[in-house]
Order: sequence, then structure tokens, then C-alpha cells
Amino acid sequence: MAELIQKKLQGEVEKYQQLQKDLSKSMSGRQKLEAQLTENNIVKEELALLDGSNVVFKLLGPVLVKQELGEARATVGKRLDYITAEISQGKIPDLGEGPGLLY
Amino acid sequence: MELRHLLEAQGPQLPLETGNTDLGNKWPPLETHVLPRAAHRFSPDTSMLRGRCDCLFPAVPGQLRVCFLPALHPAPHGKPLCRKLSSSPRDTLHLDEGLHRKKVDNDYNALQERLSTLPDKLSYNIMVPFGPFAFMPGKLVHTNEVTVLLGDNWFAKCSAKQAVGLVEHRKEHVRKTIDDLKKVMKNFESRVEFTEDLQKMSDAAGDIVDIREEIKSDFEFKAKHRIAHTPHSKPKTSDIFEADFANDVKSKDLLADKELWARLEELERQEELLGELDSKPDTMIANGEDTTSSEEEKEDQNINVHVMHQVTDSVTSSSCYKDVTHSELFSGQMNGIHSMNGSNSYHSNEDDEEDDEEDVGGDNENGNDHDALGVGDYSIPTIYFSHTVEPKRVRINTGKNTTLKFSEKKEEAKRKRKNSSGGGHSAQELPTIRTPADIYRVFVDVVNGEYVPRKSILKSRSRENSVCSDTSESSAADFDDRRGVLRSISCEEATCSDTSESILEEEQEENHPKKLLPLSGTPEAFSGTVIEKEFLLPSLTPHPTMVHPVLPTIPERKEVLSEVSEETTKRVSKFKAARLRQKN
Repeated sequence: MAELIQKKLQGEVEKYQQLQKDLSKSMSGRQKLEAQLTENNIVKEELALLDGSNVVFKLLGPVLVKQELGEARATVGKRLDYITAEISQGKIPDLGEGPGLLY
Repeated sequence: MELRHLLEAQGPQLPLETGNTDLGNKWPPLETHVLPRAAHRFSPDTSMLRGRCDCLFPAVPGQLRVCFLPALHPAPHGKPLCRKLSSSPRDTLHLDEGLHRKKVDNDYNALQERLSTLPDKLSYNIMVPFGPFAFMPGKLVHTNEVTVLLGDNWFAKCSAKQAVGLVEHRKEHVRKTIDDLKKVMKNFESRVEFTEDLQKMSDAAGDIVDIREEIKSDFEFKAKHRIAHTPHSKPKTSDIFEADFANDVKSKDLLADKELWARLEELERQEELLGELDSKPDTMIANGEDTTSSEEEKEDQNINVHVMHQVTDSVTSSSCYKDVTHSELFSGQMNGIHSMNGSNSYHSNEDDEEDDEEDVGGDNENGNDHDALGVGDYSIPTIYFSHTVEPKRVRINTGKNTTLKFSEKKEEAKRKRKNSSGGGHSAQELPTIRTPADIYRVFVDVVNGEYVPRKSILKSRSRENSVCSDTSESSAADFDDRRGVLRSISCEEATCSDTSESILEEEQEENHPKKLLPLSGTPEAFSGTVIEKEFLLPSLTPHPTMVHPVLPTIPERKEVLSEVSEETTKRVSKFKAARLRQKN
């Protein structure tokens, strides 16, 4: 009788721990997303401050690749949208860049 | 391949870092792409190292790329700031906000300075750091071109001035975030404070709260002393027990008080039985046991209180006073609070009858009072009141999108005029109000030389839009009562308002032919006659279920009034009336 209860208890405890883990994962994912969101917002604003005479680069791995200003703005915008969508979905994002890598 | 080595070595220091922040206040790290420590892996015999600073960014030899880090402007001083700054943004995110802010701010300021001075010379002779231990003499060229890390792996090449602009923008962002953080902190702090107070209060003696108000002795209250409707029910002066207890002897006195209150109640009962006369014109007692209409009396008293509160102007501490008188009234009853200073304290009464008072008190408390939650050294949690004096100003929507700004002065002026024209009942500034009837008498418009009772805002059709805003924030209910239910509508919900209405109804009947309500010797709040008004308008569909009071407009009411005045004392149940009408 007591063993049964104990087993049950154990099961519940495990479930709870699992849930907690999930929660922490989601939380960290959410945090990352939020950080990226802020950052991309800053980038967007700063890109807006630039004019055509500046050359824009993107860091892809070890390489700085030249980009056009308009392209850069568009890409950043797309990335922002992607991030906000992810946040609202509540999913855990990949740690990679996703559509940010497309260009 | 050297390039690759170099850049691979940078891998772990790539600027994009996520997940460090709690509030997403991540700024683009002040990290450079080329760290000194990576540089030392550079094989010294490459063509890059020609004593030129383009080794810093070998991607395009021949051009200086100075990455956007104050550190890497080793500049004329030859003193890199990189040590100080290389890990700054990330690590300090975990630190105290203030510290962090300062640091970042300083960094950005230094950066700005550097950027502003950089284009001064075409090239600088510097000692280029190679790793943690080595430097190499070199030159800083193309001093105006700055590659700025915008964040999220984006770079932009700008002039130094543009870079300054970007720095400004970032600083702004930082500042804003810090301010938000501060707000949040303040929020938390206030919460903590409140919780602490709450804890203190709950730790203190039970659930008894002592509310104190310091009343200045020099203020004049215009409240009128009320007359008891049943003058025989007052307790003897000797029985009114006022105690001045020190707080620390509270417990002891509790017992003594209990006995005393018990005795007092006994005496009161005796008094009723004996019907003793007592002269104490200043205090009014309405004991529950007195008469059957005591409840109504009390209601009226309450209404009276509110009316007086609002009619007699301005010094809203009069509200406090009313409650004080109430407390005087009920001083004969048990309470747990002993620290009374004369008559200047609220009693939290355990009596059920008191609930009205307390609610009233509560309402009035919410008025112009400031209350400071002061947990003093007393064992009883104490709330200290202080009043602000505010002239009562009320906006009344008298239907049809008209608003009356009710101000005491106007009312007084009106009253004066009325008094002078009508040879009023009192030569005072304020009319003596002894009964609720008096109130309605006061609030009377003069139309065509006749006195037309002022229409109640409850009765206006546009009641839904009516706004009765009182600067002192007294409850709307009080105001409604005061505005005078001049007619009874059978569909009113609240019973108390029903009784008051019927009272007023009756009074208004009397009013109608005459100007003044005759003051009987002992004015009764309720003469015992209930007059039901009938709805004669087919448009109004009265429901037996009193869901929503149908509010006719004034002209319609006048019709009804005239009608009713013809069939005066016809008593028809409202349900019956409704049925009758429906039949018709």
C-alpha cells in the first residue's frame, strides 16, 4: 500500500521535474528570442541612419560579405518578423539564424 | 589561410551573444572581430605583417579596418582600452544595473571621444598589440573609415562622424532601457513596502484598527445637530461612557468595558420601558430597539448625513464630523477601540447597525481625505487621517445633455434669494434641515413664481449618459439621494430608496399645493402612507420585474403628477397597476 503510493508519488515528481525542465527551456528560448528581437530592432534603426555611401557587410562565418543597404534593411526586417512570429508561437527557436541566413 | 586561421580563432569571440539578458536589453557587443589574442597566432612572416595596421583586418590588405571598439584605437597614447572593455558588455549584464549603465555609458563616451579625434591626423604611429604580451610598431591609416558592428552580424562602413551618430543612437537606447529598469525596480520597491506594512498590520493586535483623525479645534463645521425623532430614547448622560485609555492597558480595560457596555445596554432597555425623558439635544440616538421605523430613521439619518454633508458646504471634514457624531451616538455600544480622544475618533463597531455607518464612513473616507497608513508604536494599527478642504463642486446632468454645476455658493445664493423672496423659514444663511423633507424643500427651483421641485437625475431619460461627478468623490448613491427622489417610481429596486421615495412622494404631494412643508412638531420621516404612482404612458412598459427603472422625462412626469394629485391616496399595488395597464 505504502509502496504503491510511493511509486505514484515518484511518478508525479518525475512529471513535475520534466515540466520544470520544459519550462526552463522555454524560458531560455524566449529570452534568446527577446534578445535577438531587441538587437534586430537596433540594427534596423541604425541601418536607417545610414545612407547609400556606406558599405554594409554581413558576417557569414569567417567572411564579411558585402551587402547592399536596401537588401540589408529588407533582410533585417524579415528577420524581425520571423522572430516576432516565433515569440507569439511560443516555440523554442533554433540557435541558428534560420531565415537570417538567407540572402 | 592565414586569414582563415585568424578568423577561426575569432570564432569563440564572435560578437553575437544571446540569452544573457533578462529583459532583452542587449546591445551590440563592443567586441571586435580581431582580438589581440588571436593575432599572435599569426605567422610573423606573412606579407600582412608589414608593420602596418592592416593586419588587423587582413581581409582587404592595404586598408585599415578599425573595428568598432574603443580598444582598438590604440592611438597616440598607445594604450589599448581593450583590456578593460573586451568582455564588458556581456559580463556586466549580470551585474548591478547602475554599475552596468555607468560602465556602458563611459565606454560609449570614450568611444565618441576617440572617434572625434581620430580623423585629426592622416595616420598615427602606434604600437599594435600582438597577443597579450607583444606589441609591434605600426601605423593607423585611413583614419576616417570605421567599420561599425551594427549587431546581429551586420557591419557598416562609415565615416567617423557617422559612427559618432550611431554611438549616440545606441546610448539613447541604453538610457531608455535603464530607465525602464528603474521603473520596474520602483514598482517592486513599492510592492515590498506595501507588503511590509501589511505584515506589520497583520502582526499587530488582531483585526482591530484604530483610525485617528486630528481635528483642528479652530475649524467650523456647519453640520447641524440632529434631533432625535424619538426623543425619549436617548440614553442618560451618565450612561454615555467616554473613556480615555492608554493603549497598553487596553486588554485590561476591554474586560471592564465589556461589563460597562453590558450595563449600558441594560440601562437603555430599561429606559425604553420606562419611557424616560432625557434632555440631550446635541446627540441623537437611534437605537435599533426603539421603534419599528428606526431602520428607516437611520436610513434617513444616513441620507440626512449625506445631504448635510453636501449641502452644508465645503469643509468636508464635516463628513468626518458626521461620523464622529455617529460615533458619539454609538459610543454607548461596544467597541474594541479604546483610545479615544474625546470625540475625535472613529469607532469600529461590532454592531450590525453600524455597518451603514461604516460604509458611510468608508465612502466619506474615500473623499477628500488623505490617509496615511501609519503603524506607530501602538499595538493597534493606526490609520491617520487628514482632510483636505475642498469646496464641493458637483456637476449634475439634469438630462437632455444639460449639466448643472452645483456649487455650494450658488446654492447658498439661491437659497438666500428664495428666502428673501419667500420670507423664508429661517433667516440663516443655510436653511435648517431637520428632516429629509427639508432637503427636498431646499432643492427647489423657482419657476413662474411657483416652486417646482427639482427633478432628480435619476429620473432623467438620459440617465445612462448622466455623469454626476463630484470632486470629492463621494459616492454616487449619496448624491442620488440628495438630488432628491421627488417622485416615486414603482420600479425602483432598492428597498431603502423605496421607502425614501415614498416618503418624498408624500412630501412632494404636500409640497405641490403649498410652498413650504409645514413643520410638524415632530416631523416624521415616514407618515405611513404609501402612494403609488401609475404609469399612464403606454410607451413606458413597466415590468413587474424591476430590471431597469423606466425613467420618464420631466414633462411626462408632470402629467403624471397632475394625474396623481387628483387621485391622491389611491393605493394600488404596482404589480396590479402594471397588470391593469397591460390589460388596457
